[in-house]
Amino acid sequence: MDWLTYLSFGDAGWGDELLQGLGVTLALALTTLPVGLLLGLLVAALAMFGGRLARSLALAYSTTLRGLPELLTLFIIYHGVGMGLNSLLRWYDPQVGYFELSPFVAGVVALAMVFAAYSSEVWRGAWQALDGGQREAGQSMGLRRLTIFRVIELPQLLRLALPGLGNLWINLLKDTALVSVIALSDLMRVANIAVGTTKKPFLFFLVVCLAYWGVCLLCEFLLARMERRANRGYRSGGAAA
Amino acid sequence: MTNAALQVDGLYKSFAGIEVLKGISLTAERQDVISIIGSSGSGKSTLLRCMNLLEFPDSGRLKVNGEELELTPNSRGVRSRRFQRQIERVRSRLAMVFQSFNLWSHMTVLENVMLGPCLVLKRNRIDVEAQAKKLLARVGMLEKCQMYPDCLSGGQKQRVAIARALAMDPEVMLFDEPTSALDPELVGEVLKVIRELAEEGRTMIMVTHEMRFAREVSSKLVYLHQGRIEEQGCPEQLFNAPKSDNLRRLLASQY
Ligand SMILES: Nc1ncnc2c1ncn2[C@@H]1O[C@H](COP(=O)(O)OP(=O)(O)O)[C@@H](O)[C@H]1O
Ligand SMILES: [Mg+2]
Repeated sequence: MDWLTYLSFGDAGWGDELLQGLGVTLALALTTLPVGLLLGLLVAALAMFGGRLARSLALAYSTTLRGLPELLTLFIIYHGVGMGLNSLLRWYDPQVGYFELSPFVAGVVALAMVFAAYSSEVWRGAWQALDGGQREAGQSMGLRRLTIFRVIELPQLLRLALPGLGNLWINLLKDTALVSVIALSDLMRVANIAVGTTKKPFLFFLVVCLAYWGVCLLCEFLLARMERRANRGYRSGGAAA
Repeated sequence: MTNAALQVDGLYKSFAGIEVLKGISLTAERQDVISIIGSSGSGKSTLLRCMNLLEFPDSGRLKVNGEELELTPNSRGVRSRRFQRQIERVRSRLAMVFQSFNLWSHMTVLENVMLGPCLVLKRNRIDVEAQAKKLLARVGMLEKCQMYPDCLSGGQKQRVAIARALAMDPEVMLFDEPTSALDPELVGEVLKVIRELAEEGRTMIMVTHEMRFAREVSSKLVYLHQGRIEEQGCPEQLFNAPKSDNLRRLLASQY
């Protein structure tokens, strides 16, 4: 068989499976992103404005999750939380059958938790880089606190956080490959199976490589455009003047 | 007594146990131009910032255009919604011009000037834009109205900041060393704008080191020393015959 046959979309080829795998990878990353962003914002807010307990919890959260290998976090969520849920369910109703935590959900939860831990640091840094004088200018004309946040702080916060968040997004895209170990048929896992069956590692890994690389390149391009737009009116890429 | 534009009475403020304002009383009648002078660290900025509650005084009374604010130590922390609204209302009547301009860096010059009237005074956007352009023309910044602050010189930024303050049509304008961050050759253009405002009868309170300017435009001069008003009166009197030794020394060092 030549390589085109291997990649064809029929029963003989792996093209359709690979494309589906790419779909799973993208769906996983795109579902994780909003969850991770919001959770990260929450952790950052607690770390900055919370009471003493909330602050130390937020700090513990982000240092712990950044300290663990992502793979371990995934196992803990998939196996540990799954087991915990099951024993909880059986305690509630011994007749109930075994409940399987979907690999997709476990993947989203684990990746979002990791994303939140890293992105909370990005939000925190961005917040600290804000120019307090501009906040005071808003206060001094009688703007409400929430309005100041919405029209003055948030746009500048997004601008300052964008490069860091962009980086994390690219990392997330690649970290999705970890879910292949919990039997979720993402791009990486499909490729692995294909290699196992066909014994053509070079071909399939090259295709997968190009797919990840292409998606990352596209994202880099979009991010660069967003950054250019956010930096409109600023002379340098530095902090708010 | 008629309602003064702004009145503070027995204002005290300390930071971390160090008393910075030690009982300041000051009244700005309508159309007054009050210049506050004093050496660095004497509490000038703190006094100005207490007037619009960017700093919360420890005690004292503050009255803006007849509306009195209840200033008690515990109104500094958790505030009732009503009190917070009152603070915002008072602030909207007092426009502040900062030493470091504090223009909103992600907005164009025009957007900077329009924000307050739109979001605080809730006025119609079309009227606000027309008025903003008029004000920008007045400070000579209309051609730059689509530019961002980062592209402007210090003098231009400060003129925009003045237009932004004027757009709120404030009762009293507060200036905290409006020319201190400027290169010497840019000071003139900003002082010219402030002088015009004084001449048209704006009520203003300004902290400044420009002694000659203060002497020319002020209706009243206040000398602050270590958190107290050591001397106040008409500029001629203070400049020509200062009673306070400290003031005499300050004036001698400035000329
Ligand atoms: N936020 C603050 N925290 C602590 N100390 C402050 C703060 N603001 C001002 N001070 C102190 O109060 C004193 C008066 O400051 P300021 O009002 O800025 O003086 P001026 O404007 O006359 O130079 C200074 O000693 C300064 O260090
Ligand atoms: Mg000062």
